[in-house]
Amino acid sequence: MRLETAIAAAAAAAVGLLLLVAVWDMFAPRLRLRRLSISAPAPWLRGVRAVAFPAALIVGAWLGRTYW
Amino acid sequence: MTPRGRLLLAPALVAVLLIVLLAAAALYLPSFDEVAHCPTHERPAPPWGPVTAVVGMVAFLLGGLLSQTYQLFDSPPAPSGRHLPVLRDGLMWVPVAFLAVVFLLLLYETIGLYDSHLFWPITWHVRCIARDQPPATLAVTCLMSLLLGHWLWFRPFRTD
Repeated sequence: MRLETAIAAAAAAAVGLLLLVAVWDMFAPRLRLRRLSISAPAPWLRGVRAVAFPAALIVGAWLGRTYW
Repeated sequence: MTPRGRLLLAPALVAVLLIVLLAAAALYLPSFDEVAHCPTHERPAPPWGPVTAVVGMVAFLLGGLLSQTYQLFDSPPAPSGRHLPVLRDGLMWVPVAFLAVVFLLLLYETIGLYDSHLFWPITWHVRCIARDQPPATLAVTCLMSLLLGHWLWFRPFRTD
């Protein structure tokens, strides 16, 4: 498997996990379960955003170099 | 303008911008023969690659800095543990739909990169447009980087 394919697959898996969390959050109130945090920013989600910023910058630079 | 109006202004502008971009793409792309234009899927000729990457990064940082300017015009009440912004129940389908679309696009890209005989990867479409229309690609890259920087900038909540 090439690096490009592996990165795309990893990104798809990560977004798939976020999608599961979002679906959980949508149905949690009806099932009387606790929401996970897509709707209400929790401390760990703030941490994710703090990491996401430099990560997006690095990945963006790499993608720019690779694809353009 | 009311606080609610200010809150809705940026998303409304983004929505209008996206509609304009989609309309322009819908008008232009049907007449564009990618197979004839890009038989080898090569990257655009220099210096467009490095220029696009650098300008995209600058736009990303600029978008992040612009997200701080709200505080210059309006100081929203500092959200405490009990007043964190919560998405209304009726709008919970929005992140679900958005993430579902992104997930499907990434799945398509993965399959396309694994076996390009099945699908043309999105990357190849982008490369093709970038080779054919470098200035327009640069402009769209700037815009998207600006929006990503605006959304991803880390702004810790003030709890004092």
